[in-house]
Amino acid sequence: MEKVTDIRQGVEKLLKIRGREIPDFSLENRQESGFTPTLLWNGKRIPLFTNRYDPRIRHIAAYGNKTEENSALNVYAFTGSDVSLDRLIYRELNIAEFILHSKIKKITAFVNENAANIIAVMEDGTTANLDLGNTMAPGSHIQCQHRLITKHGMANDLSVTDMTVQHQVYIFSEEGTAVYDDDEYYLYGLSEEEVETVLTVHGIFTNHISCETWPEDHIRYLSMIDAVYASGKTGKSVLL
Amino acid sequence: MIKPIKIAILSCNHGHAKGYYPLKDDPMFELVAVSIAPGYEGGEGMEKLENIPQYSTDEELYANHPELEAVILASDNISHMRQVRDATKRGLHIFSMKVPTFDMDEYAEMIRLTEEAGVVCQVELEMRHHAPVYRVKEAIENGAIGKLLSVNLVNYSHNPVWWWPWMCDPEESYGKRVSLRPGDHRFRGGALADHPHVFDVIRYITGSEFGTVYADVSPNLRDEVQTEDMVRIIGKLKNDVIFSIDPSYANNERREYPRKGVKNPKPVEVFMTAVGTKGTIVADLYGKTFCSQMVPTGDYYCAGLGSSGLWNRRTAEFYHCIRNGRKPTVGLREHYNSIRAMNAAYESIRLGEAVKLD
Repeated sequence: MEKVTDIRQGVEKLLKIRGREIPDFSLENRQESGFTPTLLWNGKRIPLFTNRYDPRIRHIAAYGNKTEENSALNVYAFTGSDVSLDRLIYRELNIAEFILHSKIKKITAFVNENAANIIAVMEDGTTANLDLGNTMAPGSHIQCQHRLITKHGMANDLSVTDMTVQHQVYIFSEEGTAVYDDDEYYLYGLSEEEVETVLTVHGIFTNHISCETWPEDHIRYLSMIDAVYASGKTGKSVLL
Repeated sequence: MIKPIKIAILSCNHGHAKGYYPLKDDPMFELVAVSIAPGYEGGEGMEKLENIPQYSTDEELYANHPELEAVILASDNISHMRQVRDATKRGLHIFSMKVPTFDMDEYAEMIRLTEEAGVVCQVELEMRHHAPVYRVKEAIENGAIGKLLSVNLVNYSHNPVWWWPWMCDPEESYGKRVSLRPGDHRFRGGALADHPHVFDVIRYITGSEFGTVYADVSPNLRDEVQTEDMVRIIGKLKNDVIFSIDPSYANNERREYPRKGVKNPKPVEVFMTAVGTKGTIVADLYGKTFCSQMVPTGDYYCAGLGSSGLWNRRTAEFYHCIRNGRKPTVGLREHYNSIRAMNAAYESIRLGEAVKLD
């Protein structure tokens, strides 16, 4: 099977499979844009919240769509030192709002060099507890758990007895262990992050994903990063 | 040579009481009698107490068993002060459940009474005897992740209120009725009050005390319960390591299946993470798990296999403290600062701001 080699090719392949027109667009990657890849389309710059389109995160958010039933989200997320703490904070606050279906109104945080512990209180009274750090070896696969606790049960992106992120394929050989995370057959060849970007862009083009508020939300998330450090410095909660 | 200690279990209305019923077959102990708090007769495991004299009050038990050497306070928190007074008056050694009291004046009196009476008072904090906890402590001390930056513990459990109602009664659990915060219909004495282990483990692993504590609650999962279900705490230790604790009743038990063990996939879990300058630790502190699927419901269930022999090791320690003068792993004085930090968390919820501990 011919592998997909870049995001644009992946988007075009998915559109073609369904006989859809390919619009005029371009992409800036995360390194160019800052915290997220950016879609340039229809005269707009749209920051892409691709982390929300990890299928496990999507399913947790779908599970939590009865907002009156949600109580709290417990998160730990650790990355390699090649990922900045700012970017990790941005990612996880973004995911928290997505899963809890409510905007963050208050942040309290303690920060210690490359570690941050945050309690975010949402407008509907639910809370997210985020334990973050970025001191693993560069290039490490993110180790994270997102557990949503609701009145009607619990949803988690880790299975009940797992403490670390699991992979789809493990190859044990004399050279060591190789792991692979392929999920989308038609996008075989792309990394998990690239697949999430393709699915996000494809969802926007096919009107399955609403991104009108994303430019404004991006500004809010940047201010939340400031709020985390401000709270960490003063020891006081920051109202947004 | 082992000389069995004559011991009684008081009240038998704490969730861990059943763990001590096997003392009747333990060569280090002679289980002389038990008292059972009114309303808690026939509790889980009590069938094992066949042939053990049972009394409805501690006074009756004491009157009939002057030979006693030690007692286990397997009781609701509000009874502990009275039971410590009664025991120390009789020169009895004490094995206390994990919350001696939340009233710090009472706590100071407990220390005074036990020390003046010259009796052992050991607190049940079994997480210190979990091998994964020791492994993490050793790894951190050996610099496996560099300088420690953060340590974060989660202790989720079901809410035991349905079979031990006192545990979410504000007075019986916390000692008095104190509102969580102005305008909140809930009171202190719920999930936070039931989970001191994680506070103790943080102090044990880091060797430091709590410096600043900030806590907040989220909506209860159980509308009928008048104490807090879901709570989270962050802060900083005195050695500048930041911490996070989530001691919530987050694992929603299946009330339509009151049979023990059939609950949320994992009824109880304790896991932790730690970030250092050179790496990260992720650890399940609760031991290996056995998973099964129930018939005919199809419920998926995980049993924590824990550390085999755990219960016996703890009471074995109690034996050696009494017979051979050893000091308990956690005595009343050692546990004081964990209870202080838990009270600080409640105070932070009430005030809506961080609380500093001297």
